[in-house]
Formats: sequence, C-alpha cells, structure tokens
Amino acid sequence: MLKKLKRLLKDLFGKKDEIKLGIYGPPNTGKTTLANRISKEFTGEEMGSASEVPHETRVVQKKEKVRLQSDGKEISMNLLDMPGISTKVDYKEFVDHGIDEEEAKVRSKEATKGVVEAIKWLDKVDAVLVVFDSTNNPYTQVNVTILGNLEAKDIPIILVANKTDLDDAEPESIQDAFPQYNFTEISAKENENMANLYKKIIESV
Amino acid sequence: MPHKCLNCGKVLDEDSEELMEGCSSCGQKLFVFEGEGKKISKDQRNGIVKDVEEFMDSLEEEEDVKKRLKEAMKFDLESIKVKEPGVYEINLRKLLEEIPLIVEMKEGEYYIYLPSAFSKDKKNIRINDLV
Repeated sequence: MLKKLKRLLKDLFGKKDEIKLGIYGPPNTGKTTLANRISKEFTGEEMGSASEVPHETRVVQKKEKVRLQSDGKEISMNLLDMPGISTKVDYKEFVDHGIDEEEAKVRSKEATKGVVEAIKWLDKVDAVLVVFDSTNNPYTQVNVTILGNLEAKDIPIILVANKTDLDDAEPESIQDAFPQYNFTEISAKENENMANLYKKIIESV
Repeated sequence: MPHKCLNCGKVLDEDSEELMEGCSSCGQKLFVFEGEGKKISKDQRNGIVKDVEEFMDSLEEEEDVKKRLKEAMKFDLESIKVKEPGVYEINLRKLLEEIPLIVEMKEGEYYIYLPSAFSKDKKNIRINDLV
C-alpha cells in the first residue's frame, strides 16, 4: 500500500527514480540469458555469462540505467540478475559437470551465499520477473515460496515462462499453476516474444 | 488469539481447528499459550523444546518409534544446514521471514551470523561466515 502510494506520488510529481527490476527464479531457468537479452537490446552490452552448470550466477549482477522502451513509452531501470534460488546446494552437482571437488565445494558455498543475497534483495526491488523453465514442473517449493513472499510484500510480479523454443516446453502449465499472476512466455535465447515482455514490464511498474 | 505455534511462530485463534490438526504453515502440533501482553522469550522457548525432547526420550517406546516421533517434532530453527562440507540445505521459509541468519553446522551446533541481525546490507556477508 505504502509502495503504491509512493509510486503514485512519484508519478504525480514527475520525480521517478530508476525502477529496480529483479530477475528471480530457480537455477538454470535462463535468468542470465534473459538479463543479457534485455541488456543487449537497450544498452548494447551483455551483463554476465550464462552456463549450463547450475548456480553460474552466484552474486547479484547489476546493470544500471537500462532505458526500456515499448509502444512509445520509456522507463529507466536498474536490471538485477539474481543468483538462482534453491533449497539444496550440493557440490556433487558441479563435480558432475566436470569441476574438480575442491573448486566445487567453494562454488557450493558461494551459491548458498547467493541464495541469501537474492532473498535479502527482495526488500529493495520495485518489480520482479520470476523466470520458469517451461520444460519443468512449476509447482515447486521454491516457486510457491518466492511468489507467496512477493505477493505479501505487494511487489508487482510477472511470471516469465522461458525456453519455449524447446520441444517439451509446456508454458501453459505455469499459467495453470499460478493463474492469479501476470504471465508471458518467451524464449530469451531465440529472442522470441520479447516485445510482449517489454510491454508487460512497462505496464506493471 | 493466544496460541502460538512453537515451531514457526504462527498465531492461532482460540477455536482454530489447527490446534487439533496441526499448524497449517508448518504441520507441527505443539503450541504455546501466550497470555495477553505476555510473550515467551527465546530462552523459554528453547527450554520448552528441551523439555519436550526429554519427555520423548523418557517414553517407553521402541527406538524406531521414538526416532519417528522426534523427527515429527523436529524444531525448525536453522535457515541453512550444512549436511557435509559443500552440501547445504536451505530453508527458504525461514530465510524469508527471519533475521538473523542461523546456520546449523552439525547436529545441534548452530552458528548465528550476528551482522545479519543488525544490518540489512547483504554486502557484509562474507563467504567465510557461512562455514
């Protein structure tokens, strides 16, 4: 409520700060690929390196002054690519991807710290994209917990069903699982349906 | 509204069915009655937890039954559990609702990361504080 009022006042007096847009979701849903896609489109530069190894992003990546444009409207935002949120981090996952055990244990610790950081940032963001891998079952403890918490904080949310280019993608299952939220499906990798997402971001903030 | 779940702290109405069926947030069935204006301290809470655990131990049940009972009554204190070096279990619900950050290093051994209790600035969390 307070946030809404603050936003309304800012709108009225034209002193709109930069919007902090957080990109949240479990590991390996394509958050960094999406952040890179948005950043590249509006600033010409990418933000971070995406990888098939889970928990590749272990600290919050920021890109400031991203001027997002859609349908003749423009907002200036800070784009925040968050570490993936999970309930378990096991170094063996990294070892399975060919990383040696010692390095894997360090990564594991960093990834755990990343989860804590991502959660703490929830108090600072103005709007959130929750990114799903459309080939996975969306009804998980991580997703339910994140969405419930964002809703309680009254932060605008857009559910982003990513990886729709894959054969076994079922983006509709995400909308069915959480029908009460603003929803869009994309392939960040293949640059599909991104214009629709930009429009929704501008509408929601 | 004087009943409170001893595990997650949810406050229940006097006639709530959850008192019989278990807390709807965490499923536990142990509640503490808090009189008006009175709150139990963390020490008191831990004392109750200890009493209940001792009571469980004193039960004349088979070991595996006791073990199952204890499992069911497990107190959900920590936000991060270190199962073994490099393997972390993260309790998101706890992490979302609770500062400070509590890390269980091994069974019964907790580390409370104090700066997290006083500052919301995450930049202060150093990796080494986790292990």
